[in-house]
This record gives sequence, structure tokens and C-alpha cells, in this order.
Amino acid sequence: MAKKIKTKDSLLFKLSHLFKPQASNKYRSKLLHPQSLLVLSFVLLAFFSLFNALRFFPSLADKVLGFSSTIDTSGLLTGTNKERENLNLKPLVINEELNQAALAKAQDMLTDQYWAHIAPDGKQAWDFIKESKYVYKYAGENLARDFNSNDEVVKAWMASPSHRENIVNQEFTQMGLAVVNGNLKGFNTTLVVQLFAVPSAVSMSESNGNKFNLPKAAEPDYQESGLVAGDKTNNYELIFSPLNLTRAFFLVVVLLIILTLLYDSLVASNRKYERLVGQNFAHVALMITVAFLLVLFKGGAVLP
Amino acid sequence: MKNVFKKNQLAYILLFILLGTFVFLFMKAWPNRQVQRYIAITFGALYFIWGVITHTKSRKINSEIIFEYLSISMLAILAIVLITL
Repeated sequence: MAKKIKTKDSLLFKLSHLFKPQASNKYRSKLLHPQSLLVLSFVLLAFFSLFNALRFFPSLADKVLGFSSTIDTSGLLTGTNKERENLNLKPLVINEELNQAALAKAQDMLTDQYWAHIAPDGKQAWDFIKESKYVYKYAGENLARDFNSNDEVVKAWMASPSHRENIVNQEFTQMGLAVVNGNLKGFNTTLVVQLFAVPSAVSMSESNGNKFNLPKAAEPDYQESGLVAGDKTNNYELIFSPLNLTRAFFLVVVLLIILTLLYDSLVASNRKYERLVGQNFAHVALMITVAFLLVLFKGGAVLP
Repeated sequence: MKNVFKKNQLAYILLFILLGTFVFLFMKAWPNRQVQRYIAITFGALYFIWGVITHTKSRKINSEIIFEYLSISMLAILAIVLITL
């Protein structure tokens, strides 16, 4: 009796009970029992919650997490104009006032900790443009965050109908861009603000034809450094982005289930166990799909 | 596994179409994370229904199997939904 208890308490038995179909687990790997799968769901949820709780401990989050992006305004300008050229539209030119408006909007989002077209105090994108003394006829705004490269940002905007509409709008002639690194709601990120506008024709007619009040377009050889602002986040040698860390943990759990399902099928098939359980083959197909999506999932967010 | 596939060939073809459509729609919905979440929830629910119907047709079903499909669908949905938050 004593020997039996000792055997059941051994690590080997516990592992065998967890992964190998046998009498102790009703000939079905314990990990695949509904109760165990529910526990795994709670583990995912707990990891995610714990991870998000890091934002309340900025010093710890800065040590563990980081965010690194290669986004710059010249790359975004090139990418945006490339999309326009593909549709035989005129390229947009950078305007300094619009740049300042975009920068003010990005900094306002970091200062007031929001991610929206309208600020918590009701301030709209147009208000930032007006404050920069730019007189517009039409204007538009695209926002993006958490992306790693210029290419990803432009692709995401083009994939979203409302953002695409701004990029390929033939009315727009000028653009303002701001790329700002900072901490938004506890996590380091890169915010991108893209403003589009067509200067007001009204202001031209009001000036009696003598003094044109057109917002000045930037020189073709404008300086990149003037368009990037904000506090740069520290780039550590080893950076764990929140998305990658979460994704890696979830992948481990999913792969564990896939391997257990395969082992369970193999053992049950070799030993010819007659049992009434779910179809492992279908579960494997579902879990491979989930793993595939976790790997291919592209980060970054644009605001609809 | 081969025998299972042969016995339920039609059901598995349907499942593969379902999973293929899931991947396609999920990728197509990017960068709209909200739509991606709806797609994940819908296909998780469809997988559960697929499992129950397949087992009901083969008359190999009990409450344990229903809970198994429910829990594995929940796990799949949770993994995808949390990553999109």
C-alpha cells in the first residue's frame, strides 16, 4: 500500500498521468480532459492579466519590456506617395504647419493618455490644424500605433477603407507627419499621426489677389530631423515587446496541446483502446490553425 | 487517425474549408482587430457545433465529449481574442 502511494506521488507518474492515456486517467491524457483545458484557458487569461498589470509598475515594465520601431516620416511620405503613384495620383508634399499640427496631436495623446481622433476634452484633429495657423479647405487624419516599420503602417492604412480613402483622396495636396515615441497607458510605443489637407481657396480670394495666404509647402529637400519629436524610448539590447511575449507564451501552450493530442492518439491507436472521446485529428487541425494565426498575427493598430 | 478521416471524410472536408475560411477572413480583416475578434468567436462556435454534429451523426456522443469540444473551442477563441486586445 505504502509503495503504491509513493508511486502515485512520483513525478514520472504525474507526467505519465498528464500526457499518456492509461487507466488512471480513463485512457485519455489528463491534459485533454475538459477540466484541464479549462484550467489552461485560465492560465492564458492569468498570464495576459498579469502581463497587463505590469503597466502599473512602470519601473518594472521598463526593465522587462521595450518597444523598438524603425518608423520615420520620410519612409511614411515615400510609402504614401508610392500608393498614390500606383493610382496615377499626384504625390503629396510635406507642409511645415501640418507637421506641427500632427506633432501637437501626437504629444497631446501622450500627455492626456488617450488614443482617439477626439481628445477627452473634446478637441478635434481640426483644432490642432487651426492652431498651427494652417487654413484648410478639406482635411483628414490617419492614426497608427504599435507598428515596427513604415511598410507595415502604410499597408495597414491601405487595408482599412477609411484610412485608404484619405491616402488616395485626389483632393488632398499636402500632408503633415509626426512619429513620436512615448509611453501610452503603461506601455512604450510609437504613435504616428498623418494629417492631410488641401489649402483653403477662400483665403486666397479674400486676400484681394495680392497677398496669398497659402500654407507654405516644405522644400523638396526638407530635413527629416525636424519632423520627428517626442521622448525617445530606451532601446534595450534585448527587447521583449508585449505582443511578442504574449504570443510566445500562447504558442507554447498551443504546441503543448498539439503534441499531447498526437501522443494520445499514437498510444491509444497502438494499444487499441476503445474509448469515447473527441476527435484528436480535428482538435489538432484547429490548434495548428490557432498556432498559424498566432505566428502570422501582425501587430499594430489603426483607429477606424 | 487515417481511419477516423476515412470514416468522416465529408465532415473533415467541411472542417478544412471552415478552418481555411477562418484563416483567410482573419488575415483579410487586419488591421481591424475588432472584426478579427468577431471572426475568432464565430469560428470557435462553429467548431463546437461541427464537433457536436459529427459525433451526434456517428452516435458516439456523451456529455464529456460536448464539454471537450466546448473547452477546446474556448481555449482557441481565448488565445486569438487575447492577442488582438
